Amino acid sequence: MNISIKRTSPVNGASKMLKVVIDDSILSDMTVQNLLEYITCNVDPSLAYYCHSVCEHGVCKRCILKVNSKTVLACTTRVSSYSHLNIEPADVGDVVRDLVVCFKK
Amino acid sequence: MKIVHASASHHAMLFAFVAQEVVNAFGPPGGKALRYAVEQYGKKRGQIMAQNVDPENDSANNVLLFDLFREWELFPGQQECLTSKEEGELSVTCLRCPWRTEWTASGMAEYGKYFCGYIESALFEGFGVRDGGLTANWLQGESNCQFVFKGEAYTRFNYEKYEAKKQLLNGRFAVSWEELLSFFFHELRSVVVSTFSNEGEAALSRALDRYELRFGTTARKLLLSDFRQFEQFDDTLVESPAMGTGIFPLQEISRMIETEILVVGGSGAAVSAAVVASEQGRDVLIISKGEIGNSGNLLLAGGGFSLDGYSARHELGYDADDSFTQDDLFDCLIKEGFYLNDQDLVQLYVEKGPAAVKQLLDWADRAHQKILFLRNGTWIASGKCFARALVQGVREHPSIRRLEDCVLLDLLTTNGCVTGALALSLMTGEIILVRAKAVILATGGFQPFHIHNTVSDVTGDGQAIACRAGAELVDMEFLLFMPTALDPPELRYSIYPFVFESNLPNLHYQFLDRDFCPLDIPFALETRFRGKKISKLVNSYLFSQAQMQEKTTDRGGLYLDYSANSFTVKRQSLSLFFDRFSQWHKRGYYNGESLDNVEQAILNDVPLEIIAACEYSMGGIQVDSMMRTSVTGLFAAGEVTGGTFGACRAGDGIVEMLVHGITAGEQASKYCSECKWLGELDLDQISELLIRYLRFFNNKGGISSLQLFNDIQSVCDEKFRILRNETGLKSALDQIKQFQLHLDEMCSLNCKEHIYNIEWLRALQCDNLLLCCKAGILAAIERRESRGFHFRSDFPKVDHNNYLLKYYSSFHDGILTVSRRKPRLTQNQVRFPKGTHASIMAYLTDPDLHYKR
Ligand SMILES: Cc1cc2nc3c(=O)[nH]c(=O)nc-3n(C[C@H](O)[C@H](O)[C@H](O)COP(=O)(O)OP(=O)(O)OC[C@H]3O[C@@H](n4cnc5c(N)ncnc54)[C@H](O)[C@@H]3O)c2cc1C
Ligand code: FES
Repeated sequence: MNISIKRTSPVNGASKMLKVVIDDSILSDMTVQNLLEYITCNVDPSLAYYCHSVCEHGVCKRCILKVNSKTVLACTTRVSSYSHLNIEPADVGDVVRDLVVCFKK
Repeated sequence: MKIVHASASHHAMLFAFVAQEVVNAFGPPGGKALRYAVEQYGKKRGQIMAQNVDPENDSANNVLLFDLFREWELFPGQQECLTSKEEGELSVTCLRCPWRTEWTASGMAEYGKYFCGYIESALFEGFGVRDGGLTANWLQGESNCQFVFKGEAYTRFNYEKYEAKKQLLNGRFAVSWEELLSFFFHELRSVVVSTFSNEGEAALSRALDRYELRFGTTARKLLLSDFRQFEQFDDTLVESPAMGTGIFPLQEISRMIETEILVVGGSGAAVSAAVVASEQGRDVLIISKGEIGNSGNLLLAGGGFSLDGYSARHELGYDADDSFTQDDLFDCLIKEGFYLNDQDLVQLYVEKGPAAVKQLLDWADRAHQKILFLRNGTWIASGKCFARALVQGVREHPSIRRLEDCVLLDLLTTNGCVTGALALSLMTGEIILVRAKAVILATGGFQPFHIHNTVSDVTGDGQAIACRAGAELVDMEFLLFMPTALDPPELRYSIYPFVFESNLPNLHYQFLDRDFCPLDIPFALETRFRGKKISKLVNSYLFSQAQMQEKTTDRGGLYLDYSANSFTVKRQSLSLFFDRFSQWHKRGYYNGESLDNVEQAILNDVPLEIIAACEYSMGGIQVDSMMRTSVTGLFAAGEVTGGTFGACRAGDGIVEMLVHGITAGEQASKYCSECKWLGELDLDQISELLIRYLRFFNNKGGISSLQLFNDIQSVCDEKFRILRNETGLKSALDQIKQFQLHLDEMCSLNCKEHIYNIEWLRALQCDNLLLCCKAGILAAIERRESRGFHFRSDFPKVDHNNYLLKYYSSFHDGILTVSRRKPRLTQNQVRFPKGTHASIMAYLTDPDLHYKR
């Protein structure tokens, strides 16, 4: 599967796309959150996505982001329901780095 | 509230910092200016003191009078003198004084030469003492300073009169150190600036930066304020950008915050503690890794919590069956905890539970949350619902300051007392220095497995941080497991199997092994413990037996089979479940996940794969019943502590977190009211810690912290999880030690930014998790028996004769050592049994246990 992830630098706010191709067999049981973990472990450890003190079961809503322009929870969204993935930060506040957003309260 | 921001130590260090900067910048003329300033200050203070002396006084001012009207007070122990009172001669030898102590400790004694000698002469001159003075000065090579006074005033009669008067005056003329310091700084400044103008100002500003780093922002602010307005100066503690000293690595600190009580954590234990402390008038700051009221295991709580029915009915006024009393609960918790509980903590849990629960229910009510009450004394809702109640609690106390997405890194201590903490703000990458009189750790449990149902990164931060700061850990070998989903994939690690078990009493189920054959389970186990607190233990025991007989699936699971029920019963039961749970979850969902596929599987008799996954840690920081740790000023509350539940938690994590939180809040407030000071920081310690955190940016080894984190979990999954044996545990320990070496020397970061750097956070967390794993595995090796959630295939017996003992870990010079002691008892103690039981189940089903549930 082709995956692209929008990355934003905290230093100058510049954005670029990280493009990754991952074999479908690896992705079969994954959520988007699992996929991001897989990418940081195996492809690019410098990628930032919200992953600290989170529930992983759709309760805390802190893993919110956009997949193919739709706002979703990364932990309950299954990768297998997509043919390609375009992952971006959610429009819920200022981007801190990559996919991490500082929520507006 | 009165917070004291200064002492003689501040006075000594202020002078040393100023003197060093001035002498470095201006050489001998700088020294001369300092001497002059000290003399001006001394003379003026001496004159001010003299104004208090009664003009009618019969004799000339002498040193006895000087002492009566002395402005400054020292702590007990700060000064020690030998006094010889002879007819006509008084001599005082000073063995210890705070100035000498401070300067020596910080290697700045050489600057004392601009102070000692001059200050005394000037004070005496100002006051009018003319019959003696300093005769020996330690700075000139004498072993101690000595003062000698000779004259008519020094008679036995006068000595006695002076003693009597001293009792009477009782320090009445003492002036606050804040005022003395501000006056002192004013004098130093006027001389230095008039002599060296702008460059003098710059030197003073450098000195102030260093003073601030050591004693805090308020202390600096007070120096600069007009002491005559002290009465109007309120005691608000401040937050400010730390003054970069330019000294590596202290310059890495971006911000400094001062508070009375620092509470760490964002869930039930933390909020309860912060609220109580704030209600008692304390200045409270919470820092939490996650969002407050939206992080921690509380969010995932599934079963609710309970009290004894008697208290629910008679203390809280609910329609509960009151046949189960506090005494019954006490007895059960200890027997179900396999007698390892500290019984004073159980007593606290039982007695304070009702009031603690009431507070949560009141918040929930005001936050419009629905909570279901059952007659057996149980309240049920969702974790989110309890968490919203906490948010209400915090909202009602707006004076509590908060920092979220902020990770505690370490505690700061000076001479065994807590003085503050270092924390990392994930969203800004800032390292924050917090100064506090007391710290309450409420950071939740620890679990080192991939196979878990907890929230993410339960890395034992609080436990490891406390242990590094000198506190003990206890019961770390006991981790609680419960049936958790592997199937269907969208519900992986959901606790719906457990929630079904306790909420669908009419639905029979059985466990099937890897070949889909039913496990051979004694009927007594199946029926007697179902839906009871102890069922998690019984089920985990079954998993351990299946694993021993190699009957588990490839993923270590078993199958859950509901096929013994008719279609109608299944349908009705599920429908009842959805009705009840749709109060808190979207209909047909449990938390954010759809139960559609589970429903279909159950209706069509398709077995669902489940596993015993980690939910809770019985072990943690050792506390007494006031939630004090062995480090002065450090308290702990909630799951981060150990001891309440012994080898098996048969009570509720939620009640524990509330009771502990309230107690810790009360006790920390009390401690603060007795302790006036924000403790002084140990800058060397701070530097060492900073270097430790930053080492990962400089390491070259190429080992990834993300990989290391996974490796730790894999080793623990395999060898430290539900079924343990000596060989496995020892090899796990070796691997954990190896991982620690990898982390220290070879773990490096690809990403060099401080802002939301996952690799860095993981590396810091690995440090904590490794310490907790080491403590747990060491204790598990030592415990050569089975007890509670510690199942040993090589030692299946419960052995009361040799193991009614708790294992404690403590950390000295980088080494973790284990010791053992008996559990603490109370007056109405449950007495210890003797003998052995063939297995954990033989213990639980022994009729002699007189088990009341
Ligand atoms: C799936 C599941 C179901 C459960 N169901 C129940 C139930 O039904 N009934 C019951 O009584 N108990 C239940 N428990 C147990 C109960 O949830 C916990 O015992 C309880 O939440 C502990 O509260 P706590 O405040 O001590 O810690 P937690 O609720 O775990 O909160 C810890 C807090 O500390 C913060 N933190 C952690 N590390 C740091 C750090 N380094 N710096 C700053 N902050 C930090 C976290 O962000 C979090 O806010 C369940 C647990 C799980 C996992
Ligand atoms: S991680 Fe909590 S909602 Fe996704």
